[in-house]
Amino acid sequence: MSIKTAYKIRFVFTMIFLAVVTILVFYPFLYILSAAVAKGNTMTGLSCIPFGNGFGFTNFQALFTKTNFPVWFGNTFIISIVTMLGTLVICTVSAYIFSRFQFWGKRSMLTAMFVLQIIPSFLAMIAMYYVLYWMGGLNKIWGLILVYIAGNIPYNVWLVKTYLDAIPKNMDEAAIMDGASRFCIFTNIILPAIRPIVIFLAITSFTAPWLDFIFPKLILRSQSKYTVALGLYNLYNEQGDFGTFCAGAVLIVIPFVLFFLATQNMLVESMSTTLDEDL
Amino acid sequence: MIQLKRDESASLLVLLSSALFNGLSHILYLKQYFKGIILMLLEIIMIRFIPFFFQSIIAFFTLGNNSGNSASIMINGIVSILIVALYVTIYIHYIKEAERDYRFYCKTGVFRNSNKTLSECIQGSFVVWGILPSVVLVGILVIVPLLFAILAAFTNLSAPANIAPGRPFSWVGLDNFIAMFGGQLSWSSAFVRVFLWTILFAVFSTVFCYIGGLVLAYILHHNNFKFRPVMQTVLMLPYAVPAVISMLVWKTLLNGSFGVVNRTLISWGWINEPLNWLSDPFMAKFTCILISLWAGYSYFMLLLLTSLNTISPAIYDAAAVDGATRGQTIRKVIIPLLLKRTTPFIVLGFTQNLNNFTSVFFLTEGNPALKNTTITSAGGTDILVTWLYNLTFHIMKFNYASVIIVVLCIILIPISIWQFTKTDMYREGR
Repeated sequence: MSIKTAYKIRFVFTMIFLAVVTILVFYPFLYILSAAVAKGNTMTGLSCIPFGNGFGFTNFQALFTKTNFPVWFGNTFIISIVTMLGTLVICTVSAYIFSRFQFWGKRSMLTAMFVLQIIPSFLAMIAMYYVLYWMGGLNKIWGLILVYIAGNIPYNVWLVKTYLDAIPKNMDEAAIMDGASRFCIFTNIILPAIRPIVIFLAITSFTAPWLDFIFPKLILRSQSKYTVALGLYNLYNEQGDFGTFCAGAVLIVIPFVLFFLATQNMLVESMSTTLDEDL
Repeated sequence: MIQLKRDESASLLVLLSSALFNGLSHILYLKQYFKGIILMLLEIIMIRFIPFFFQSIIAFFTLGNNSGNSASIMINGIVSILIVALYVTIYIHYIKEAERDYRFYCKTGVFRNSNKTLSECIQGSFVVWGILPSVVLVGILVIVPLLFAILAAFTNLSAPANIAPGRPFSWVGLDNFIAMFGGQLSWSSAFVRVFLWTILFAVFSTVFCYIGGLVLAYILHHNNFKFRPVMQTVLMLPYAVPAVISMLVWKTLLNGSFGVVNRTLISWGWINEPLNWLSDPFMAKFTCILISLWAGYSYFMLLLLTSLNTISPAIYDAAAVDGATRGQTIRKVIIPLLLKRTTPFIVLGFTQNLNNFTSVFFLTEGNPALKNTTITSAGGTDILVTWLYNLTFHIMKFNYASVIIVVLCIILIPISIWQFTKTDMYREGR
C-alpha cells in the first residue's frame, strides 16, 4: 500500500468521524426546530426524524396568545439594555481610573476585585435575597439589574484595566498638557482607543441576562416580571408544553446564533491576545 | 493659618490635631483647605451616625436575642462594621498624610498641593466619584452578601421556624459544620458524596472538553476540504446557544420512555430495553459528563484552533528534519506547547465546571433520588451548586447551604490567589 493510499484512507475516516460528530452536534437543533413547527405540542408524539410531524404555526400562535412570552421578552430586553449600559459606564470609568491614576487604596481594591471575580455571585443567593429585602428590591426589576451590574464589576474592571494598561499613556498625557479635563480625555481619547473591549463588554453584559435563571427565580415573583429563561423553564417544567417551549426557544436561539456569528472574530481576537502573552 | 517652625518640632501638634479632628491640621497648618473641609464634613457625618453604628454592631452580636428581624440586624451589623473599618483606615491614613506633608514642608519650605485651585481639586476628585459607584455596588451586592452567606453558616437560619424575612434566628457556633462533617450521618454522607462527585464532574468535563476540542481543532486545522468553514460554524453552535435551552432539549431527547435516543437505538436494534440515561444513579452521572462534553468542547475547539494558528510551521519542519514522525511531532511537540499556552484557560474551565449549575440542573435537576435525598435534598447527580439551590429553594436549610458556600470559597479562593500571582500587578509589586 502506497503512502498516498494510506493518506486517502485516513482522510476518509477523518471525514466520517467529523460527519458523525457534526450530526450529533446538530441534531438537537434540528429537533428543536422541528418540534417548534410541528402540528402537535407533546413530547411523546414527536417523530425521531426531523420535520416528521409536518409544518404548522400553532405552537408559535400559542406562544403569543396563551403565554406571556412578549412580556418576558420585553422584560429581558429592558434588563439587558440597562445592565449593559450600567456595566459599560461603571466598568470603563473605574478601569480608566485604576489604570491611569495613582491613589491610596488602589492596590487593595484591585486585589479584592481579582479574588472576588472567581466567586460567581449566585453562590450568595440566599444572602442576596435578604439583602434585597433589606433594600426593598425584591420582586423589582431594578433589584435584578443592580445585582447583575454589581456581579459584572469585579471581572470586567480587570478586563478593561488590563486592556488599558497596554495602551501607551503618551496620548492622554499630551492632552493633560493641553489642559483637557479628565472627563474630556476619557470620552475623546480613552473610549475610542478601547473600542474593541467596550464592544466585547457590551455583548457579554447584554447576553448574560437572557441565559440566567437563578437570580430571576430568586428575585422576581410575579409572572408579569418574568424573564425569558424563567418563563420558558416554567413552560417546560410546570406546564409540560414542549411545543410552545420549542417555539420560544427557536426565537431566542436564532438571534443568539446570528449574534455569535457576527462576533466570533472578536472572541478569537481576545483569545489570541491572551495567548500571546504567554509566549 | 498658623505658621509652624520648620525644624519638625511641631510633628506632634500636627499629629494630635488631625487625630483629634480629621482635617483640622490640613486647614490650620498645611494650607490644604479644600481637603480639610471635606475630611471634616466626613467626620461630622460619621459622628452623626455613631449611635446607629454602635447599636447595629452591638445587635449584630446578639442578632436581636430571638426577637425582631435578625436578617436585617445582621446586614446592618455587617454594613456598619465595614463602614467603620473603612473610615478608621481613612482616618489613620490622613493623620499619617498630615504628618508626612508637614515633614515635606520642613524640608522644602513649601506646602504640598497648597496652591491648588478649586477646579483643580474638583478634577482631582474625579478619582473619587468615578470609582464610588463600583465600590458601593460591589460592597453592597457582592461583599455584603458573601459575608452574610459565610456568617449564616454559623446560625440556625433554616426552615420551618426561621426563614421568612423578618423572623429571628440566632448564632449556633459550629453546629452546622459539625452536622455536615460527621455529626449527622445522612448529612455528612450526602456531603461527601456530592463533594466527590463535584470534583469528579469538574475534572472529567474539563479534561474531556479539552481533548474533544483538541481532536476537532487538529482535524479542522490540518485538513483542507470544501465544507470546512460551514462545519466549523456548526461545531461552534453548542457554544453559541443558551445552555438552558440545549440542556432542556437533551433532557427530552434522553427521556427513558419516549426519548428520541432510546427510540432510535431500539429501532436500530442496538439495544432491547430502553436505557436509563437519566434515572439510574451511575448512568445519570455518565450522561452529565457526556452532555457537558457536548456543551463545552466548542469553547476549547475555538481556543485551540486559534492557538494552532499561532504555531509557526517552522516548528513542524524542525521536528521533521530531526526525524520525528507525524505522531511524535504531535505528542512530543505540539501538545505540550498547546497545553503550556492554554493552562490559564484550563484552570478557568475547571472553576467554571465546579460551578456548572446549568449543565446539571436543567439536565437532571440533581435526580435520580437516592436513599437520603428526602432529608438532604441531594440527588444522585447533584453537584455542590445545585445542592445549594435545592437547599435554598426546596427545603430551605439556609444554614447548611451556607456551609456549602464556605466550602466552595475554600476551594475557589486559593485558585484565585494562585492566578493573582501571575498578574503583572503582583509581579510589579514584589
